[in-house]
Amino acid sequence: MDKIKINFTLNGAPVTAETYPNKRVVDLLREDCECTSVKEGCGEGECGACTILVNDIPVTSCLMLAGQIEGDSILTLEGLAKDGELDKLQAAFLEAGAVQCGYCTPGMILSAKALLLRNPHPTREEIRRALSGNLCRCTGYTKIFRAVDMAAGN
Amino acid sequence: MALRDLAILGKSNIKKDAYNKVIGETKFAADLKFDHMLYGGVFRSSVPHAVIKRFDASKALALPGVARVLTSKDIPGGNRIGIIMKDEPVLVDDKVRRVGDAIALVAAETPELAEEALELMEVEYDLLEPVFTYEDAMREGSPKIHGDSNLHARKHLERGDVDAAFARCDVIIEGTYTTNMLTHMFIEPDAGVARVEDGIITVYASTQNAHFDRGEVARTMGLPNNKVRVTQMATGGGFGGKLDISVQCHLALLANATGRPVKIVRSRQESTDVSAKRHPMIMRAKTGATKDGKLLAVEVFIIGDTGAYASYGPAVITRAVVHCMGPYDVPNVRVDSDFVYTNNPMAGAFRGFGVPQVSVCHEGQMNALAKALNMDPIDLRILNAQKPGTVLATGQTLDESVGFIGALRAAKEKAAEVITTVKENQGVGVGCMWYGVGNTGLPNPAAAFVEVLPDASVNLMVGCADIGQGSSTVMALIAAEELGLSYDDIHVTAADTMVTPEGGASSASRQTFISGNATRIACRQAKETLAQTAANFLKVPKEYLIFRGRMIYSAKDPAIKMTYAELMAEMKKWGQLAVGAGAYNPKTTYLDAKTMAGIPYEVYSYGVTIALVEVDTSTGEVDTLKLVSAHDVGQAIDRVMVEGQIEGGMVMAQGFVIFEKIEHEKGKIKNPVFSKYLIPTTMDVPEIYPIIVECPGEAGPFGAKGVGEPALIPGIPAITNAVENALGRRFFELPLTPAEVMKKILS
Repeated sequence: MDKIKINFTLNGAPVTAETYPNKRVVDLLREDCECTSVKEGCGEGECGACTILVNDIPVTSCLMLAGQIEGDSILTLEGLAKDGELDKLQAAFLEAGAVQCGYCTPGMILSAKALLLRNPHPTREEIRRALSGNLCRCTGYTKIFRAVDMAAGN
Repeated sequence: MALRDLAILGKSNIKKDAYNKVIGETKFAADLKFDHMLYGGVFRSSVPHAVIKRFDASKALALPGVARVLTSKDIPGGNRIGIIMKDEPVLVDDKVRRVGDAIALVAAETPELAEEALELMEVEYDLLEPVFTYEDAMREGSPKIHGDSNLHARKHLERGDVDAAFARCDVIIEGTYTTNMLTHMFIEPDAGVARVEDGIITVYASTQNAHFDRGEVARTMGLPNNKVRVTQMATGGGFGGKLDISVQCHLALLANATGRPVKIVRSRQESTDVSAKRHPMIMRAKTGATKDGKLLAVEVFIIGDTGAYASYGPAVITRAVVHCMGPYDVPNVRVDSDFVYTNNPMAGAFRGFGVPQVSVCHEGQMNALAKALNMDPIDLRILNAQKPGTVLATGQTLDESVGFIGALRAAKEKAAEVITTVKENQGVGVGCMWYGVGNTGLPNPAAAFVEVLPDASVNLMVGCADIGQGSSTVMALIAAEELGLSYDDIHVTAADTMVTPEGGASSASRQTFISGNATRIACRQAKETLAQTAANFLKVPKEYLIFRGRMIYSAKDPAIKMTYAELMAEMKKWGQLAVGAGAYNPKTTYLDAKTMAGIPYEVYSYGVTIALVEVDTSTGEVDTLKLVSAHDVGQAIDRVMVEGQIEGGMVMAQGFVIFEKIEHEKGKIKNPVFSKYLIPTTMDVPEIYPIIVECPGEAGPFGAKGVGEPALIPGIPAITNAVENALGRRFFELPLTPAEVMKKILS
């Protein structure tokens, strides 16, 4: 298989990557773009640790191939803080004590970000649904819900 | 009591590791990259019990990009590892004992090439008859997995005259309970990198015990301990599943053989297949009481399957035996237990070391007893609760830090407030637990180094691995409290064996208590010099000095004071250094080999959960609605972190009761991935009401005890009993899947 050139926006900056079209996006981001906040927990789209935003939609990047992101805008956790200032969600995760081991945190914050982008004041039920694809084994999710509430000003 | 006047502890702080985790900067082992790095893989057995007749890696070696293949013959040092007993080969030499035993290693230029090389390896086995059950294992003439007996451990605990006591009982409850094999499902699969530099092998690993890993790697490599460095990377959950050696020894072998850095990242399936599991147990219990509800006698027989290797099995059996009568004052106790080796997946540590399993048994018995006597379940427990001065079945007399009754009352009060109505098909259940903090009757020390620097900032070095539970934050808070500085003044370096002293395992809810005590002792030592220098400057006896809020002042006259900055300038002037090295080993005694008499733990934590559940009687689905959980933690070091442990534990308890079970057949796990082994998601979470009960004693740092495992345990019997009470039927086997619940409903 030959490598192809793909163009996309990563955390606000244009990127051109030369890669195999069937390389998984999780691997492309981690290996070629230094975005190691994108975690792999299962490789089958079940745990949500590799969640990224593609044009503001949360996607499990272990199930996506490099060839599919041509022209897209990708957000990883590295790109969420702006000029060193934390996003409200990041600050709320700190404040609420929503981080334990931290392995699910990048995907969890990004799924929450996608929710708040489309629904700035979600109900608890909407928060649950939006995060239902992100597994956490440490926190019992409760402080994560609280963090999203805090960030939403609920 | 002066120690209650705390400046720092008992509040809430932002965890030391949290900032880097929310900005995506934290490095886990799989995130590491070195120049010229190779990727390792492990060729594993597909059969449970066999001798290897032929192994051929020639095709793999012929693949361009494959650097090395290693087998047991290439191990420079010893080829047996294990936390308590050295019974597991790094690479199989004599025979295969389980599906997934490591037979050979490969290092290649890419992960894909390593994978391809594994597929090209060929093996032929002479199959041996496998053993999968307790009965098979104990049968005369059965094939032996290790040595000449499949009995891994046998324990007997006895106090009082059990038979005579049963004869005096008005009511006797009997039940046989079964809990299944479970897996941790930490979200980060095991991973690591090793490299060799200047004669030192460094292993960067996802681990709960860097100092143990160092010893195992050193022995495997035939090197002195100080030629091996194990650095714990951020660790994505452990729950006991990252206490055994995973990739560490394999990485060291490959890095040493190739002279290049090597990385291994396990797939989810490989991680689940070979990491230790929760011991499946069968518990047969007989509980006797007077008509007033006073417990007179408890008899329990416990069977456990530790699988192919011991791992933490010896700890699990002793903990199960010591705790299986529950947190009650029972004058007559007899417990027997057998754990066997089989060719099943290895069982070891999993949050609670057997205590979650036995809690299903003792609380199932208490629930049935309360019903038989028509007593309020909380009142029954208060009547029998352990208190300061209670003598345990091991003969130990409890100290003053026994907050069980306080936890029972606090839980009852909160439940009365939040569970106001119980509708049809709903049920309320109570679950209680006690948990000895630290290893069972064994030495388990930890140490800490501290230095107060010239600007009054502090370097604290602890061996204790922070796996997200927040131990580094705990140690910083304890140091800040003891030194009279602020939380932000303390920098913690954790679990790097070239820098930090022995920390022991981040397991058994021991680190707050043991490394916390070590930290406090180290700080007190540094404070000795600081206090002497301050006393000379302030011209007051050093015994009068108080260190608080970055000031040093006289307790007799607070106007006589100096700032920490002034003190450090004085220290410099007189050439004094503020350093401390503390070590702590809990005051326990070995348990008698025949009777298990002794002091198994220095302190015990207590927990009480009250659950409200609803059962859909048309589908059998159980919905956990509310969980009130009160925990005696001695002294909360950080309230939000304690709450986080309780909430995480309660949701894990839901998984234990309602969904989770490793399905295995002929030694092979059939559901090693998240799509087949379901754990709770956001959709399952009930309302959780964590309650912190503080009943401090003299033993812990500022009175603190552990909470990591206690946070899980009482939720399990509480949910189980709530389902029983909702349906008016008893359940003796977990999990309570819809199918199992429907069977009971229809029976």
